[in-house]
Amino acid sequence: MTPILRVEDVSRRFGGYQALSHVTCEIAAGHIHALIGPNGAGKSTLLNVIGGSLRPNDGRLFFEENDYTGKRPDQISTMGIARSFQHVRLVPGLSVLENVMIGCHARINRGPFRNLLQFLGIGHAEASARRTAREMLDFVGLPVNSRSEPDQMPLADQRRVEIARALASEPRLLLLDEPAAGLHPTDISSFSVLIQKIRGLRITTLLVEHNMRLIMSIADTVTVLRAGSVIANGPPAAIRQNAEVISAYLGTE
Amino acid sequence: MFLQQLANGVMLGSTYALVAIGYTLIFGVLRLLHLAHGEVFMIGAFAGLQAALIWHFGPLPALIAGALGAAIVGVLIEVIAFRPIRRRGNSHLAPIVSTVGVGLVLQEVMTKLFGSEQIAFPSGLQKQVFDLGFMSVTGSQLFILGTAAVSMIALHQFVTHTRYGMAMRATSENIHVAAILGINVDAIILVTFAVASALAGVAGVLVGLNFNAISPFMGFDMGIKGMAIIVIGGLGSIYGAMAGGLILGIAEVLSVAYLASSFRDAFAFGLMVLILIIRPRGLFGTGIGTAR
Amino acid sequence: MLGGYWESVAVFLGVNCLMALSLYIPMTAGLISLGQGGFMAIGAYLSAVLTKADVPFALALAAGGGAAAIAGLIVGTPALRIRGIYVMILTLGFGEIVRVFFQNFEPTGGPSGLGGIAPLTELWQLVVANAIGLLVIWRIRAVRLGRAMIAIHEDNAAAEAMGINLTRTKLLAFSLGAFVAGIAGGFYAHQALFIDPNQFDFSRSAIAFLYVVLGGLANPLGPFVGAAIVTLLPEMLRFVQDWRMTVFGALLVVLAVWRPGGLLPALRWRQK
Repeated sequence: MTPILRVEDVSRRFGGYQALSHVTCEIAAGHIHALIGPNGAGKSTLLNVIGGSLRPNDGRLFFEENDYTGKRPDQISTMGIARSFQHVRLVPGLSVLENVMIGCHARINRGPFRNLLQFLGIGHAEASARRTAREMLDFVGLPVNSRSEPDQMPLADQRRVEIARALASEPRLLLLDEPAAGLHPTDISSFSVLIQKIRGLRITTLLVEHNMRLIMSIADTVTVLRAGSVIANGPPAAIRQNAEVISAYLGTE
Repeated sequence: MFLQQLANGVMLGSTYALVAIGYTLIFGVLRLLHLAHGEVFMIGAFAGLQAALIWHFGPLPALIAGALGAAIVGVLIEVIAFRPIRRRGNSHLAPIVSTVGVGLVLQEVMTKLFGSEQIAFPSGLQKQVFDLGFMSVTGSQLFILGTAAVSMIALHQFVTHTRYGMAMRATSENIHVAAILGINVDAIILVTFAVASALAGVAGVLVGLNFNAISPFMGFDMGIKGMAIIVIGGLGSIYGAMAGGLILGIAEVLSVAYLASSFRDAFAFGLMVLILIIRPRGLFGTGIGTAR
Repeated sequence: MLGGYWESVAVFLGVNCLMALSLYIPMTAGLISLGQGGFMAIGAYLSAVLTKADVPFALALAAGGGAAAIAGLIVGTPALRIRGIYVMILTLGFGEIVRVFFQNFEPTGGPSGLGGIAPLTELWQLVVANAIGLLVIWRIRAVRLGRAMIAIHEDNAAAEAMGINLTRTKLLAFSLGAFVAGIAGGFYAHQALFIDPNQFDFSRSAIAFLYVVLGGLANPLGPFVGAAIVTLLPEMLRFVQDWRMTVFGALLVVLAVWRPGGLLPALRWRQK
């Protein structure tokens, strides 16, 4: 079975600092794939490279076997990859529903004339976007409280809104950057349920996380990074017992 | 002939540089454009004029009067138009409104006091001409060049060797970290405004001496050109402001001498647009303003 | 109807409201332009030249707006890769370049300006134009482009990751604003009947900026309120006579300090 995402020999430098070096990995379709590693290992950098906000200095990226290296984030979003952010980045000037509707942005583009008609109230692209947004909010467990302003919501709910927004773009691959960071344990378990629900939709998830319990309980595959290189790759049970992984986290003597 | 024009350009350029340095210093610590800085330049010119006329000061004391007058006004502007906005949480649009307001007030008040026509600035300098063989310079031109050079060197020393100067640089680097390190940021900002305004005041007096005439509206053009210069040189870079000012001065003078004179004013902005396309961070800039 | 003088004031107020609108649109996307005066000049000059050649007013206006919109695309392109302050200075530079251009362009009179323009502007036209403008910004969030612009304002990178094409959205915001300024220029020219380059200098752009910031960005009525205050305030300050502009300047400082977010409160939107 072909992997949905292939990272091939990717490297990325910031000035003199090598953040990623010769990273190769594959993400199987339909999996929950976790990316872990100690602080500074390059997890977020890798996620940013996959998502297009950073360009790799070397290497290639393949989505469903299509080389998309060097494409812009908005183009990548149209291809079917969506992401959430570590520090929630909702738009404060818009309502929750409108925030999620932005996820439909790429999907409701029908050209300037249609947009003009839409503006005058004619045409149903807007209504269908609103419907999709409501469905997504429902799916993540935030039914029609869409009247609130995003900055008034608790962190866990804001994260859900971000995920709803990402889902609204009908992705086949979802990139989640530390969705559990800073959350209360009860919220974390409901997120765990949500991520599994997403897998149920046949959407592949790449998850950067620090929370080991979460990873071990839901991940199908785990890739471990350390100082910019992949040191292990496999199912959670195998990773847990990998000596190199253990020493990476505990430090070597 | 060419060298003569070059020299003229350098002179004009040094006055531009002095004003631009002020803009860049203030931008450095506050990350804001001081849209009334041109008017501070104008105030300096008038302060020098008063000194020269009323108290019959010579050019050097007139310079000092100009610098002092401008510095006082500059500090007042900080306290009235910038500080209260900072207190209430850092809007970056509101300071533009308040500086436009301040500039308007200054311009209007000076027009009330001195009329809107140009006023003669007594030269006070020897008209003697020094013949250097390949070109000639007047005493006043030497004075202007000398003053500008001394001012820029003094500024350099101040910024690199004094406690205040280093605190200024730290604040420009990162205002929050500077505060945590114990720097009295408010005081440093005041010092920055004082220094920036003093330099502008000196430039104002120099322009008066060079052209023998000043008007309440002289700040307007200088104001907008100053902003173009700091983009050319790189926002926040003192050496960039110096270089940018000199380049512009030379370009303008040469364009008047060899091209159609009416495009002179567009040179600043033409150069600026060029820089923004080719090298957005400016000649000496550090890349704080560019995208991915 | 209104007396002649007040009708004229109303027309200029209508023009100023359009100018405020022209800046409000790019500022919604986070692009601060200090060069709207330049776009206004292009619209004013082009439409005046066309009506002198017997082109119908509506067409001349549209052409002026269109030319300004194209200029907006040209100016907007270098603005794409640079941040806030740089965009301000870039657009300021653009405004100056336009002014110097018209100062030297003999076919439109150069520094002596262009006179004898037909008095084609009428108050009802401005009312209609402004009503359309208000409708546009009132409903801006109901359109994909509007939401995209607001998303970009706060956070370019996040917006891009959500699928918004930064280039297209920013250019659209810029040229739409330029278009409106061009139309405003056309109306202005056919009311003032005489235009010269200095009427469109940095002061013009700075005043447009004042309109928007005083009214506040968070409320669609903001630009109109801002334009009204700035236009009418000097009229109302007649009693201080010669000190009008000084008082006005002082008031600006007071307003900036007292209400940095603008005079109008933010309108909290409810999505049904």
